[in-house]
Amino acid sequence: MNEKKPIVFVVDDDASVRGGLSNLFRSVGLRSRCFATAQKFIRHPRPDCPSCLLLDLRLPGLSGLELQRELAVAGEKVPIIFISAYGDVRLAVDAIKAGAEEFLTKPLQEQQLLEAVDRALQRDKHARLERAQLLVLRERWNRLTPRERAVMSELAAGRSNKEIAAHLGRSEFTIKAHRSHIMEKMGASSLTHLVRMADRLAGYEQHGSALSGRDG
Amino acid sequence: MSALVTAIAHEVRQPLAAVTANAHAGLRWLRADNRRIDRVRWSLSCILRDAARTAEIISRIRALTEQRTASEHGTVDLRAVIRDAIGLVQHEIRKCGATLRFKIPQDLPPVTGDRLHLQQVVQNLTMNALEAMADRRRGRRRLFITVSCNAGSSVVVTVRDSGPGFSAEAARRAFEPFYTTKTHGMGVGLWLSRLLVEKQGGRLWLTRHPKSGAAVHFSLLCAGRADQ
Repeated sequence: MNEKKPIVFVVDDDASVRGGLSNLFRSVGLRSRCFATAQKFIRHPRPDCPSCLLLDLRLPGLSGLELQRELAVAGEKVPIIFISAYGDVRLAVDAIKAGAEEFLTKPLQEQQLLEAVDRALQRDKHARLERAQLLVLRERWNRLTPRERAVMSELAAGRSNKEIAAHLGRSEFTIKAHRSHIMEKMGASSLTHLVRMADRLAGYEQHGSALSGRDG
Repeated sequence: MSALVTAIAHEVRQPLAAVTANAHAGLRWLRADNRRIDRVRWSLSCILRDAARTAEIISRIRALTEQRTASEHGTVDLRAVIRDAIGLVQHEIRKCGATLRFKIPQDLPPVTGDRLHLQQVVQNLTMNALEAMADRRRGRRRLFITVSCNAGSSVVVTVRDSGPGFSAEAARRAFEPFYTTKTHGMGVGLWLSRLLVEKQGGRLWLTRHPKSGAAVHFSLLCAGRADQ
């Protein structure tokens, strides 16, 4: 159960800042885990629970922006909130363009920080749920026979049983039988439901990486 | 000087960020539904520690600037400056086990500048070089100090070591005050050295030598040429 409790990761080279932030998170009942360098964060195993990353822009060794890039390459989708003691406008723009959630300057405004963290954790929770659902769909789809997959994509394209039968050179009766098998295997409650599933799977095929990211 | 201001702002904002976070946390630990006096006490002691750290940063910066304001320009024998600077770090050179080679032309003309400032620069650069080599397990630790004369108008002093050299990142940020790759020290050595050299009308720069360590160079005007 504890595994599912959200966690805030903090990467900052300043021990006082790490101590202060973890004290603050603890006072609002949030788990946090702090790291002095980006490398230490990379090496640390991440639990499968909603999380976000509070990342200092300037770090010794791998910088904050470089870590952001590394995580993107590795397909890790943890939302990032950048924190900086400099007013680096140009770097802030780069960070946001590369998909950062927020960019905050030190000293951090408590309300602003806690709200940003809360938003990031919510977003990550939803994203994880979506990915888990997609994973289930994908597994179900993998269990379909090649013929059933063909019928499913025809159904998703809005064709009738009759049209599909003609298109695939099978009887309408056979197509009906396929269709009920597909509905059962995919766990679809209606044709609309099945079409929605097909759309999500197609979206995955297009974007590809949605499932390849490591979550753990 | 704006780089210094930025750096000071950064140095002070770090403990300030910690103070703010701990103060907010302390207030939350005081709330009736969340009361933890031990955590309040801890938060307050963190605040005190970081306030002391801020005061320390400020007094160090003040000491640094006060020390450097007085400057006496005159004619300086660079050979004597280097000899005096090396004399001050003799112990560190021995401790490092480094060999030191000089290459200074016999007919070196005097330069204009402040003797003590230049001595400080040579000392800083030498210490940097020694510290860069201290982590080297293998290979000989060699330090070179060379002086070359440029058509009687300027001289260039080079301090080169056989350490690992500057990384691209370190080379880019070497002159930022408070930037350091070392675990101790404030990271003002190169920044201050450059400031001091520029005050004498010279320049200071570094070059990267992938196979043979790092080199820092500074140029100075020969005496009698500065006014022309």
